[in-house]
Amino acid sequence: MLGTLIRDGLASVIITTMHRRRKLSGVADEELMLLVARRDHGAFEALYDRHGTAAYSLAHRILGDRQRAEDVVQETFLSIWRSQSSYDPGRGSVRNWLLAALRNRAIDAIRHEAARPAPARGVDPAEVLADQPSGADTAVTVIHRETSRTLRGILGGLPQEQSQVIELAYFGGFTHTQIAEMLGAPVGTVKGRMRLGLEKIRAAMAEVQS
Amino acid sequence: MTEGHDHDRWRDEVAAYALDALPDAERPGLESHLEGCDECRAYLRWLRPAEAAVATSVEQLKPPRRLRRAVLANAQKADREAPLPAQSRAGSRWFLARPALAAALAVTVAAALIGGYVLRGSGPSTETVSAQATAAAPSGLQAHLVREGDSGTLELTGLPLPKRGRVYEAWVRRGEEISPSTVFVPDRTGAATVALPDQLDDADEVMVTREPAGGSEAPTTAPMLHVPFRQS
Repeated sequence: MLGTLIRDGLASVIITTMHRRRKLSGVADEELMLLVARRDHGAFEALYDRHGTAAYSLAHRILGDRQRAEDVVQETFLSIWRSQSSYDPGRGSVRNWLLAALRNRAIDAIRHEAARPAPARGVDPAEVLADQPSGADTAVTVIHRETSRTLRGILGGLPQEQSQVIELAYFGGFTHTQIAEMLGAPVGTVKGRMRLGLEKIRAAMAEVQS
Repeated sequence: MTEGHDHDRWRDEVAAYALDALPDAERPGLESHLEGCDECRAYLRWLRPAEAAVATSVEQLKPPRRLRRAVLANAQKADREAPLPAQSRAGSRWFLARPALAAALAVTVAAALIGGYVLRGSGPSTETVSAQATAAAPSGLQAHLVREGDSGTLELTGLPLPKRGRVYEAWVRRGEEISPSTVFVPDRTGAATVALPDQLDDADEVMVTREPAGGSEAPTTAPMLHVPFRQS
């Protein structure tokens, strides 16, 4: 009797959960954020399912370590749950906002590491970024492949000196003055390369979308 | 007023800022400039998707199952250890606080009207302005704006859930200038209560359009709703 009740109860919970997942699958990210703010665990789960892969991938790219990537992803999502990170529609989509928040945490983590060597003139920037694996060397299941591949193609199409400064800044967390010191180039040159690179990415994105 | 050649000089700074590559000492200067420069703010908004593209370009790795379990367990644990009062949760987010504020306002106004009186006296005056649906509006859409002082609350019914990847966005028009206000979606019943915290006293009208997720900086579709104000 008790077993039947438990079994039926569990079945009911499972059916309810599956039904709710189906309902949430069509909900816009912005609405999910409203539900998450109301402490809706189903919406939070859906938010992770939609963006957890992108978040983990970016964290791994920046930190180069599975465990630290997992830690930063956990911290970022917990911060969202506690409403400590506020969604700003002005920064674009929920995904972009979430990835920007995660990137800030990851960069903060590496900036505060005592073991992180200060960049110095003459250091090979390629070696600096090589410490942070691209992920291509990791045995993984690749998803969202087309989107990321298209965007990688756009980045790969940049002149090397432009993609280099963008990657050092975004994935390495270095300032333009640190990058200039590393490259032995004037600060103005580094900033100009950043600008040209971003403008080319933006223009290429517009072409792809048109 | 900033001259054109100054914008060229600032654009290098804006690009570094978009990549979070400005040293801390240089950030306040640029942020101060951005506050007063529409052109550079627009340039930063234009660059943002490029920054996001860098983030999304990384090879996608399947996260371990334990990470999902840990993330969800953290939320459960946070609820047990430190349940936050609803008021403080809503108050810490402008995007989420506005619907909460709107709901509170709507309840207050409704209670006042049911009670047979209108909110006046020491607080700001309140008036209700009817909305005008356009041909782009879904059938059955009804809306009005409860205006209180400089701000207002747009209340809508009969609004279908937007398609995936789309949202509704409210705008405030002042002459030729159209400013984004609030991104929103209705609830399951097709109702939405949207707070408009903008300075409405000099506004000509409030509009609503359908926009891509995240909202837009300028309307990309025809308005489905107008709430015209009679300028005093």
